[in-house]
Formats: sequence, C-alpha cells, structure tokens
Amino acid sequence: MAEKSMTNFNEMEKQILQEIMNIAFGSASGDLEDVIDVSIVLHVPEINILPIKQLPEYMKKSVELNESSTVIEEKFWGEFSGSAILVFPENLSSDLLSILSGQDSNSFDTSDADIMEKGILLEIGNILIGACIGKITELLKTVVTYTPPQASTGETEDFDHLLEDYQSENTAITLKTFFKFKEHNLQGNLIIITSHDSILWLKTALDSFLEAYR
Amino acid sequence: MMSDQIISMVDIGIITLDKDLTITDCNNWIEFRCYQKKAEIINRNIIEAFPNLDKEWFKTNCRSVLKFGNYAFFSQKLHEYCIPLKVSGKFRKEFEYMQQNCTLAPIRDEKKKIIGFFLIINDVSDIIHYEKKLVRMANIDGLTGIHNRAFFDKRLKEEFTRHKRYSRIMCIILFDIDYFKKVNDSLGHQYGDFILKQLAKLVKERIRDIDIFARYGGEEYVLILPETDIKEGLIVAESIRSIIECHQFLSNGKYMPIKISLGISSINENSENPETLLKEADEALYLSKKNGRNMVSTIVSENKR
Repeated sequence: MAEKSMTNFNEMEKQILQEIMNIAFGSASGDLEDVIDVSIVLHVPEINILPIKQLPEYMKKSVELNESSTVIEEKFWGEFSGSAILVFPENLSSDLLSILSGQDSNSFDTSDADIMEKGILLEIGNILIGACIGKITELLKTVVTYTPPQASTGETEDFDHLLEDYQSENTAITLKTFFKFKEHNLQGNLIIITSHDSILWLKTALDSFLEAYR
Repeated sequence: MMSDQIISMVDIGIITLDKDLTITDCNNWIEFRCYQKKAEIINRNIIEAFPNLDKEWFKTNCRSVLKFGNYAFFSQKLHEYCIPLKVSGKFRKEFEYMQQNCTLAPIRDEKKKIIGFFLIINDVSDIIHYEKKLVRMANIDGLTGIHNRAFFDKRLKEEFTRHKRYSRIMCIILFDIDYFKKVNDSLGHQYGDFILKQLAKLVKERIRDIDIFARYGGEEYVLILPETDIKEGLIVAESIRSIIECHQFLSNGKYMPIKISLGISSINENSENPETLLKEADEALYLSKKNGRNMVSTIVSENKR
C-alpha cells in the first residue's frame, strides 16, 4: 500500500510533468525541422497515469490501429526508462518515402518495397523518438541509452507483445502526442510508457526541477 | 587501460568522431578490414575519407545524434553498408563490401555534454547470405529451377492489386502437359523429370524478364504477363504451344513427342480478385482439354463486354 501511494502523483506534480512535456515537445519540433529538413507539428502531449493492465485497452482506444499500421517501438533506459511507441496509421506513399530517405523511390525493387518502407520508418521513427525522449531527459538533467528500434504491425498479438516487459501490477505514465508532417500527408501518434522505477525517480526529478524556480 | 584492450579485441568495428565528423580513432577490427591504412583516415572528415557517406540519411542522423543525444541505427536492409570494408573469404563472390548493421551514438564528457560520437559496425554478411539462400529456397521449385506455387500466389496477389489500382492490363496463362502420366508410365520417371525441366527451360527462353513463371503443380505451369492484353497474350501462348510441339525431347536415347494445353485469362474492370482470374484461366484450360488438347483457349465471361 505504501508503495502504491509513492507512485501516485498529486495535482501539483502532474502539472509540472505536463509543463515539462510542453517545453520538451515544443523544442523537439523546432529542432526536428533543422535535423530532418521537413516541417513537423508536434501537438501538446496528453498525460495519463494508469495501471499497466489498462494499457492495451487505452492504446487501442486512443490510437487508430489497423492491419496496415506500422508500429515502431524503442526502449530507453537510465534513471528514466521505458518504451516509446510510434504508430504510423497507413501505408506511406512512395513520394514521401523518397523525401524522408533522400533516396530515389524508383530504386526500390517492388519485391523489397515493404522492407524499404519499414527501414525508412524505422529511421525516421528513431529520430522522432530520439528528439522527444532527448528533450525530456535534457530538461530532467539525465542521459539515457537506447535499444535499436523494432517494427511491427497494428495486429493485436504484435501490439500486446510490446507490453510483455511491464509487470501488470505497476503504474504507467503515458504521454500521447499527435504529430503531422506539414506539407505532407503523414501523421501518427507517439506514446511513451515509463516503468515503475522511473516513476519514483521522476518524482524526485520533478521536485528538483521545481526547486530551480523557487 | 583495460577498456583499450577490450576495444582492440572485440569482434565489432569502432570508429570515434568529434563533433565536426573528423575521425579521431578506430579499433584494430576496422584497420584489418579497411581498404585504407589507419594513418590515412585518422584526422580526416569521415565523409571525405568515405565519400559514399555523402548522403542525406547519414548527415541527418549525425545532426540528430548531436542535437538530441539519441542513437542512430543504420540497417543493412536499407543501406547495405556504411563504410566500405573487405568481405571475409567465402562471401566475397556474393558481396562487393561487407554487409553491415551500424549504430551511431553520442560520446559525452563528465558534464554530460556531447563532445562527439562513435560508429559501431557489425558484420552481418553471413546472416544476409543465409537469409538470401532461404528466400531463394522458399521461392524456387527444386526440380525445375523456376518459381514455385507459393511465390506465384504471393506475386499474383501483388500484381493483381497493382494492375487494378492503376487500371492496367495483365494476362495469366495456365498450362499443363497432355497425357503426362503416359510419359512417366512408358519411359520412366527420370524421363518425366527431364521433360518437366526441359519444358521450363524452353518457356523461360521465350518470355520476358518481367513475366512471372512458376510451376503450379505436378505437370502444371502458370505465367503472369504484366502489361499484356489478351490479344498479345494469345500470341505468347500460341508460340509457347508451338515451341513445345516442335521440340524434340530427346534424353539418353529416349524420345516422346510432347504437347501442352493452355488456358488464358485477362484482367478487366469486372475482375474481382486474383482467384477469379485464375479460375477463368483454369476454365479455359479445361476447354482446351475438352476440345482435343494441344491448343490455346480463352473464355469470354458473361460480365465482359
């Protein structure tokens, strides 16, 4: 019971968390433009604190998943650790693929088109995730390391598999943002899930963040 | 230093760079496999030392790692390799350069400030070699060397969708060997196998590279002709029929005249799915059989104008 209360956030802490995310995502979208040379809009993230076991339900409801969705997952660890899950809802056009990859789409062999699309989404997804996590950790004055991104589909088994590493009795913080590439028809959702240990650390990090303004 | 010993021993390539992309160091692994000497690449800009990296994908990821402190992963699937390195012996025939999965990650000082990065190179040439071999094995018919049924089913679906989407024309030809059982029964299965192989070879010589040719079943074959209308398809089918009829299938002194029956169907605005296209070709093939074999048939479906 004592454990549970420690992982509960009070209103004040929730507000600080929201504020940190607003700053982080704001500066991430600015920097992303410099890095990938494509204008991108990152919406203010929506923060939710909920038990892990409710996550699959939450994800299915809040993200429009279908069979042709591509899901990119990347784990990060350090004092702040968890998973970032990026959902691209539809197949990408070959024009957009060549813009994102800087490669001529005609050079893609049709039989390899799926593999190429997956590869390009992995690379672009990795940068998007890196930008968001990078900015959050920068504000919280910590550093994380990453696992290589993995791609899967929006099919239920694939998606449930992503949550296997989290113990069901724990709490998760989800940060959901919606992003859109300005001049192109590409949008998606980014969900960040943190582990139990990170929540305890996050509370202290929030305190010291606030301390700087007192 | 212990870490120096480890770095010089590990079975991965490591290159360190400063923030301006100048190579500051590399391990023995790189030195052994690189076409240039270590002294020639140290203190040089990596893009200058390896001009193949003068690409947006590489520069974008460098910017990202420096700005966000994330890791960048370059897959073999997308790039084949980052740095041109020598391939180990037995894969030399297959690949020009070592196939690599690479990681680019930041190096930070004590204050966690990013001062440069390192590139890690994993040799995946053997994995890619076996992967390609497996894909080949899964798609090729062992006896005839042409594509198998599984590959055909997959490609038919893809080609059908593509042709429907862009309102393009396309034909499929289904054919089988007339009285093949008699061939096996009278001249033996070895001769039968010879016929199956020889026939595949003859058809392959006649068709274009873009056509998809597969063994559909025992003595049944199928052809997908993209960008081909029924008129042109009929010409191809008839010429295949005639090539087989005129060929002398002679092996170890054994000989038997071989003839085939063919059915052809084409995609149209009423084609619902790949299965209907195949069904129409099958019905046409049945028509050829019924009407005396050694001929090409097509059915005009009621829906067609």
